[in-house]
Amino acid sequence: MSEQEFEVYLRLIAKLLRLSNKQREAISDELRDHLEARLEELSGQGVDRSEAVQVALSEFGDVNNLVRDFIQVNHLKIRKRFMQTTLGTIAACAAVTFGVMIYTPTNRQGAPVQSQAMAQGDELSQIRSELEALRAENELLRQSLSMVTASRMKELSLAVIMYAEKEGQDETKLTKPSQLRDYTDFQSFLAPYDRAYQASMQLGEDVDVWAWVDENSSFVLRGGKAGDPKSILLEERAGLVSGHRWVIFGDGHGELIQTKNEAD
Amino acid sequence: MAESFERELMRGSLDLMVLSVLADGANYGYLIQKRVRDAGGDMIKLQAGTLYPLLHRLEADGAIKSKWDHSTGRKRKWYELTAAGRRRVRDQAVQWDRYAACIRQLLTPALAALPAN
Repeated sequence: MSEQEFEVYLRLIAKLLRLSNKQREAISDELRDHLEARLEELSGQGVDRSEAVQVALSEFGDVNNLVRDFIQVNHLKIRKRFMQTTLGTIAACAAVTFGVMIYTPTNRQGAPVQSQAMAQGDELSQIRSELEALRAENELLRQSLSMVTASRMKELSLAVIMYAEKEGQDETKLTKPSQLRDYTDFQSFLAPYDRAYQASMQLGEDVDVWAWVDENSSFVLRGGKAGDPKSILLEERAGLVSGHRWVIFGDGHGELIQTKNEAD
Repeated sequence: MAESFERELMRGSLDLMVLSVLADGANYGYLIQKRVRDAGGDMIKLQAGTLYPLLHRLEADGAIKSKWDHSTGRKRKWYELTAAGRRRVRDQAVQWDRYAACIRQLLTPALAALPAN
């Protein structure tokens, strides 16, 4: 009973986390240890086991906040890695430039006159080879930098799966990242964001649904009359979006996060 | 009187609380939470959902480091302070001490002047 309930809870968290499998597994293991430790403590105090499970889960707090915070920490890590790479590039460029500068002829005024021409020839070839090395190093650093950028962008490439159910007939639409529109000026998100994406879907003849998802995986969902974005029938935000019969919302990994049909 | 400290009051001090617990030695999430709660006499509501992202953030900041222990048959993640974390605890603790003294100096006469509920 307890294991089942914990596992359902942990699976839900893992599903919502936009992290690698390894990171999700590590977080699940850590949270599982906490839940089991709390369960043991409550059971030791004589609390009924099923009640202890409920207490342990309820004490954890809001799942959406937990997921949002973990994702923000991950973004922080990515930003730090990005900054480190950028600073590494700058430091390497500065070091090589400095190296080139101290070997230039103007800084070698004390060189003997009779060997100056030969020395200049040597120095020129040395500078050339160092410049080549600098170019090669820059290219290497540029590549690693774009790899970091690419991996960050990959993570931010969200897709929106919109699923609708009307009169027993299912309609599903997957909006691929390339089809999502940028919404950099949209102000309704809870968390700060750099980019946000929009997807839309028509339901039947008279209802449109628009969804926005930002890079922190905060969602804003809005439903209105077809062709009239200002006629808002429903607006929900943050984490799981629910509250209307035909609204089921998913993430970009092909995993539908289904919400209950509570409006019926 | 409120049953727990207001969230706004806690904001900004949770990091230091957690780091202070770890200043006593390595520890894991559940016991860190317990230590913080015990210290506050249940006035501090530190939910696990708040604690774990906080621990991960402190680790990303380089203030703490972690390692997994499998010896008890259960996977358990232990945290401990890094050298940077120790410096941070010391610096912030001094600041907080001064801040608390300042607040106390202002509050004592204010409380004396105000009627008790």
